[in-house]
Amino acid sequence: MILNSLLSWYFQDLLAVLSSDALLVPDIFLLSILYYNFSDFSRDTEKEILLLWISFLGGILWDLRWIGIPGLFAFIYVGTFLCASWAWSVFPESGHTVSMFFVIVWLSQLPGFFAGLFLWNIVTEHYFRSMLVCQAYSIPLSALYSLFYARKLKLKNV
Amino acid sequence: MDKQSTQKWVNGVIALSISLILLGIAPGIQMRLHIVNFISNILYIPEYPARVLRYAALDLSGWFFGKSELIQRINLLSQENTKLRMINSEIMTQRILLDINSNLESAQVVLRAPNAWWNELRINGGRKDGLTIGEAVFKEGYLVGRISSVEENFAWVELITSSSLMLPAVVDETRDIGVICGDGEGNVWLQFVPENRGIEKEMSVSTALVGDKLPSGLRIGKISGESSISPNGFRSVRIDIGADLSKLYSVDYKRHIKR
Repeated sequence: MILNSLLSWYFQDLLAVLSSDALLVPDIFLLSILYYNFSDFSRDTEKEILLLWISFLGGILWDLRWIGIPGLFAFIYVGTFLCASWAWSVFPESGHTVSMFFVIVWLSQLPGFFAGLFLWNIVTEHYFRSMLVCQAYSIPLSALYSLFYARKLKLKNV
Repeated sequence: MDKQSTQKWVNGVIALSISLILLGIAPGIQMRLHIVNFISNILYIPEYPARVLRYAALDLSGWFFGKSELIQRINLLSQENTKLRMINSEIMTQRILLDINSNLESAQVVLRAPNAWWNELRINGGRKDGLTIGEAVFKEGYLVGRISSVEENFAWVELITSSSLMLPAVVDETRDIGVICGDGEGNVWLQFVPENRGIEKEMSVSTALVGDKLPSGLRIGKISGESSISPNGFRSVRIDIGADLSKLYSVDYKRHIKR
């Protein structure tokens, strides 16, 4: 799990190097963290706490690499992780469907996106285009992770 | 809320608090920049493949865009060059005409045989007037022919409508060069012009450089629009000559044309 999280952070970093808009790359790292959290059907709290601190460290590392001010993305990642966990826990286990998973991980992409917009001081006329770019990657990625979740859910029910 | 869940939320609040504290104090800490540089240096090697890929993509796009930009520049320069050549040609023509017009002498046509009506005529100026073989002869500022032989008191002029007189000429607007030649029946054709060169009606035709006695830029006439294609793929275009050769009672000449 730690290794996979590290790899997802590294992949997100590579995308940022490749992209000209480093702050508008998808939060693959956060998606992976949420995936590992939600797909752990044992509801192990210790594991959840570990994921929380991994998201914190990943955010700190992202800040130090791309933002220059540590704390911003650490706050966003941890905050998003807690909000998503709370939203997930509100529903009973029967409500932990693939579509619910999709909605939560898709919404989890938005805080990072808005922070990117704020940091880059994107003007109004580019706002719509940036929003489209964000949706262009966040929806397919969320769908992809939903597929992984569906697969894991199917294995659990077998 | 059970104990384990509380533990999770406590950890979450601690992580958020640390983040906010870092966010608050980090901008004032000089050490931050060293840490940022350190992280960047560590990640330099793992990020190397992405960096290479990015530079390669940038180089490739730069090559494509640079090439099209270069082609656009060449086209623009080519257009400018054509315009400048036309302006230069116009200036040269004006200078020559000014020089000719300021030093013109007139000679009367004394003989024009009916059997060689469009080929030659005799004028009453000769060697004593400084005329030499090859000199240009004008009417109303347009070339009508050149001196073919000179005697003491008269000279023969070979007309541009003659089928034996061939002179290099240029279409001023397109700078296409051909050879003008008469057909012996009052018509003059610009020959050996390649096809599809954009030569259009009313474009002016003047002499190309032949020698000191017949410089470039002497006005001949205008493209009439009538044309024919030869079997070898070249085009012949008829020229409306500027001078009226039907009413040729006198001609003008200049002894020494200075360019």
